[in-house]
Amino acid sequence: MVSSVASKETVVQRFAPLFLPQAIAVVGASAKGNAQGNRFIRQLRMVGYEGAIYPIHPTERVVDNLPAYPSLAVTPEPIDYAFIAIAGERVPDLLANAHGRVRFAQVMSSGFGESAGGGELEKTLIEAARRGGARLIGPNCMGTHSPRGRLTFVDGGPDSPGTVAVMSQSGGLAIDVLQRGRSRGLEFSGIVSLGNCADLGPNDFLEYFLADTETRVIGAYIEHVSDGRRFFEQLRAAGAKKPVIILKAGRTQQGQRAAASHTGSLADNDQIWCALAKQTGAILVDTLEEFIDALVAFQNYTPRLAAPTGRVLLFGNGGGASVLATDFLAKLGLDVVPLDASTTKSLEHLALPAGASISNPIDVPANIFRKNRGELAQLILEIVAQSENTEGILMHLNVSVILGYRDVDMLTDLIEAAVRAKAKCQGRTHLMLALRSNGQPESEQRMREGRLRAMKAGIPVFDEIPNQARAMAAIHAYERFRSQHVMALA
Amino acid sequence: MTKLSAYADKQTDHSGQRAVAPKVHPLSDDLRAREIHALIADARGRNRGALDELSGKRILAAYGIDVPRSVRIDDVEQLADAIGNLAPPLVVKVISSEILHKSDVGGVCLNLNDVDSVRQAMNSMRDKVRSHGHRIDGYLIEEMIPLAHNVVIGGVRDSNFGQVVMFGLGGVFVEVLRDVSFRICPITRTDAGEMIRELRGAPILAGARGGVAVPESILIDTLMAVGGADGLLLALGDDLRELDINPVIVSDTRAVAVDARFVLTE
Repeated sequence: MVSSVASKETVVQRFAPLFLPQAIAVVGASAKGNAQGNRFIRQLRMVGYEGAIYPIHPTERVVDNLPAYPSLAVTPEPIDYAFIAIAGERVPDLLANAHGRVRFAQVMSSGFGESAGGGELEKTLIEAARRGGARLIGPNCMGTHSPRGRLTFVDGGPDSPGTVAVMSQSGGLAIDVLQRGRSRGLEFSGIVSLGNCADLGPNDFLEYFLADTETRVIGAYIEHVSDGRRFFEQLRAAGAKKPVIILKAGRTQQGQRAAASHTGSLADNDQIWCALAKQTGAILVDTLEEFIDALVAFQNYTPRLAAPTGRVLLFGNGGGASVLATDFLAKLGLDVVPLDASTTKSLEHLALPAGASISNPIDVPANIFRKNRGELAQLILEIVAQSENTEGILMHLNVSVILGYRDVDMLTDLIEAAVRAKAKCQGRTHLMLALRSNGQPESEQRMREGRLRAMKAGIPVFDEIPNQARAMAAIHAYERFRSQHVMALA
Repeated sequence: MTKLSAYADKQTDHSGQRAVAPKVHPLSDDLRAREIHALIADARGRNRGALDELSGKRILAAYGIDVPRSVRIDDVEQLADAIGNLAPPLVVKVISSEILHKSDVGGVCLNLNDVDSVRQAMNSMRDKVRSHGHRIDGYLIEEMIPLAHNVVIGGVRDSNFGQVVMFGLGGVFVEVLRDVSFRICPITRTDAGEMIRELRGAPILAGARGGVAVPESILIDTLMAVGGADGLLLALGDDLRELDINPVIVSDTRAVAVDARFVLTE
């Protein structure tokens, strides 16, 4: 049984059958081939899943050209992962008869605790899964995405295995994260749609993702954690060894606490989650956009070696954008301070033409970048990376303006310049890029290509400077926590 | 012999000005736990949802939190004998399990400099409180702490996250501006320092506009005594629903808990 095995296995071993399944059962695929289970089988084939697939069907012998079995107990081998998408009321019987042969059962079916009157059925389901020996994910969820295990629940793969792990208590949002993440250049170590968390929940996956060596950054969309204390303690014990981004819904809801004191009336949900973030180094965000931006920022994160300075540098084409960015950064507690005299001197040696401003922000009109295929940008980046003690270089390019110079491929040149300069930034400062487009189809297309190229090279890319600035603030908060709470104790 | 609490005698010496709050608990853990358990059991036995002020302060003192020297008396007749060891100015507070907010019913009188003025204050307090229809269990006479700054330290037992601790500036800052900071227990000294500095009003405690500058270590010690790993919130655990220590009067040498409300779980 799972429980006895679990005590001997590490958490990584325990979850391996979910993220690297060798035998998958599909419950809810029909002979006609148009059910949710059939779509799942198609997706498995699309992403090149190489293990065994066992459709479970009460009457059919063949489903999707695969031999089908009447129950989970009679498949030729034990099941690592069962994908279950049949009517909710039929699921408990199915799982109760698994006879300890299923490690993970993910139940997509709805009609449980999330709907009026479904609470009893959910209790029955939990009991049935326990009796059948399976750990339960869901119900009322969408699936699990694991590029390294060639497992997915979303069309459009295969995806390269990556370092970003996401758990979500909303299935739709899990799909958003995957699809938007793909076009932003995110690569995942795993995405789990948690559903109602009748059995496994945020605490279990937090434990796993913290231990999983493939995962370098963890994102969690959370509506409710059933054991907040354990969640806090796990994060606290982890000492911010990995960035954890939390998109917490329902923070503004009025608590049900009937207060008998000032303290009681002030202690709302938002206060407690903010406290959790401040005490654990977790990064609390308010929107899906910020959530994805933070994942982008941390996907290729390399720590800076020096203590946080709160200083950042702006570099790009677009004077107004730089000035606005300076104000925005200040509101986030980040300073755009004048350059050191030695830096200014080095930049003066570049003999930039009139029109370029070599204070901070460094503003260079696009026409000046035209010469030498972006070499100037590389030189500027390398000089400031080496001689300034800034936490980040926020490089921003107005793509639409740059594409106006049609005799050269200035966009590619500038991105390649940034990629070459990145080596000199590593460990010293965080180089981040904002590619700003005016929304015209040509700009959008070129921007997408440029973004993926830079992301592959480890430079996080954002759509606008405020997004980039918030991501910078997230890195600042994370490193500040590590320097004040973790390293201070070490 | 006058019946009075030996409360003041149990305290560490408050007569001299101490530079920092006590770091050593005056009672051993075991004694402390037993005494606290007895106070809570007593309140529950009397069907009270909250500890009376004196019991609350005994717990604070047991955790090394500075409280004013005080005596409890049942009646004005005991006054002259009782307050001999207290240094004026003094404060009189009514003790009554029926009263939630003492000052609303005339149950607090400040700035009393001699026996006569204390006696007068007690007599008029008795009439006012009774006119509100409340029973009087006794009177608490305390040394008045000179006002420098006023802060609030609180605690709540959250059903999901467990004990959380709150810090804020007193009066209008906490009640109107909600300028408070929270942390989940146990807090570290780093957490406590951040709780203080993240208040919008933090410069006030640092001595803005020529005010008294409070050494951060005094506030951190007090916050740790409430919300730290060995603090009273975790020790009281599931017995305590909410706690307001309001006000805590802080100066450049002391942080003194002047009133405390311990609300018990049902």
